[in-house]
Amino acid sequence: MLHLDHLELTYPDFRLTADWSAEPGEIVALIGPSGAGKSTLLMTIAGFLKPTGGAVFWNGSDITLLSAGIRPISILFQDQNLFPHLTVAQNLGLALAQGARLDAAQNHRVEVVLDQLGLAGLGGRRPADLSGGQQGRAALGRVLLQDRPVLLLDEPFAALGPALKSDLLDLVKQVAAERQTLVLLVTHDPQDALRFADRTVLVSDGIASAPTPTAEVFANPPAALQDYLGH
Amino acid sequence: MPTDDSWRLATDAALLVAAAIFLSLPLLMVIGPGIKGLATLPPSVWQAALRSLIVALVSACLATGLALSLALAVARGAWGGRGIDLAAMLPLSASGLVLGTGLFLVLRPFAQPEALALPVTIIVNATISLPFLYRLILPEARALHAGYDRLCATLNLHPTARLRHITLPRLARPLGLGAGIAAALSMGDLGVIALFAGDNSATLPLMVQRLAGAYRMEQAAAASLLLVSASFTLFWLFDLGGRRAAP
Repeated sequence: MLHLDHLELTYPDFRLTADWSAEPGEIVALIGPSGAGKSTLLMTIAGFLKPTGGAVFWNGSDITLLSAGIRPISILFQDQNLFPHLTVAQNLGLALAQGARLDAAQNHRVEVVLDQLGLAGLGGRRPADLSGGQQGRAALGRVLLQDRPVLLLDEPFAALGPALKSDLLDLVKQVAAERQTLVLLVTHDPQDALRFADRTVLVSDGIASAPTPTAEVFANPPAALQDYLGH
Repeated sequence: MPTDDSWRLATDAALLVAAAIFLSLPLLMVIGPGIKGLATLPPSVWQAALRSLIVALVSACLATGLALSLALAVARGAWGGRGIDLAAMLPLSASGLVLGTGLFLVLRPFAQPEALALPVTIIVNATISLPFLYRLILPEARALHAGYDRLCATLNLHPTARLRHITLPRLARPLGLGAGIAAALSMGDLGVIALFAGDNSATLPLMVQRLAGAYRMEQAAAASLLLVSASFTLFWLFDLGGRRAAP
């Protein structure tokens, strides 16, 4: 279980608090206006920002001070999820080993993931030689190989257009269900929340509210969500 | 306006031609007698050339490594970044001769200046080219950090793996160019060495000066030719290496 314990981010011109938990295997959407702090919260959970108060717990142990690389958390950024000068296979290899050279078993794991993502035979290409959708899949391959129990998505597929984005989120949903991964998904799009998220967090007015079942949130939207949706 | 444009073209062309003549005339003056003189060069000149080559290579490596470490630290937003930035630019305010004089005064009580001629030359030459290399590498180091630091962090890349697989390939171009500049500058430098060198530690530029001073013009021209070729070749090889290694 991921537990944000009175987590607090206070800067001169910004404030956000969060105090809630999420369970393995569920998908939680973070929705709210731009600048409210969705990405900032995600970066704090990932370990790139230090909170000014409170703590982050994973299965009861305090991970607030762990560096990003050793948290039980993987993340897909808005962009720059792959090194452009390395091939797709080398990029995925870095999730398994500290070099571009892998042993036979690791190579096999990379091949299996590429296969699973419909990228068989494309391991030798550089990211720039792939389509946007294929790049998204390759980036997803990187977090699949990292195989950490929490996956954070900072709108990584937003630039792809609605159809491709839905395809990739379907894929995320499927692998998250297989592996019982907890997924936190930042989105601007209410449809993403409705289609993919079991529960939804509204981030607005300095508070990341506790996750509420998505259908419930949208059936009976709080005032801040009504403002955001423009109702 | 067409007349304006033609005026501009004419002045541009005139300036370019003047600059080309200014640069190539002395070079051309050296080539003819230089080629003739090559065969007559004494072994001491070839030894000096080898010494200069070694000094240039070592000081280029030193300057590039130092500039890279400083640029990476500043790009990372390391504590004291502004101080590092200032320190990296400081050598601009001193000439090699000034640094050399200072070092000469510092070291004279402890050791024979002649014994230290080459190490001091290496260090001073590396220091002198540091500001240029630092400025060359910093923007790209910043861009690399902004773009890929978090990806490196989430992959938990070990610093040596990160240096080898990410930093060096991504920065190969400015590193190669920078090393080329440092090597060429060092190869042609006639600063500290003039203060420190004895008979057995002369570099090629110092040899040129001594030959010219003795009115052995054909040999001076030959040594100059050697110097220019070596500088240019070093620069070209490093820059090419950087471009080849870049992704």
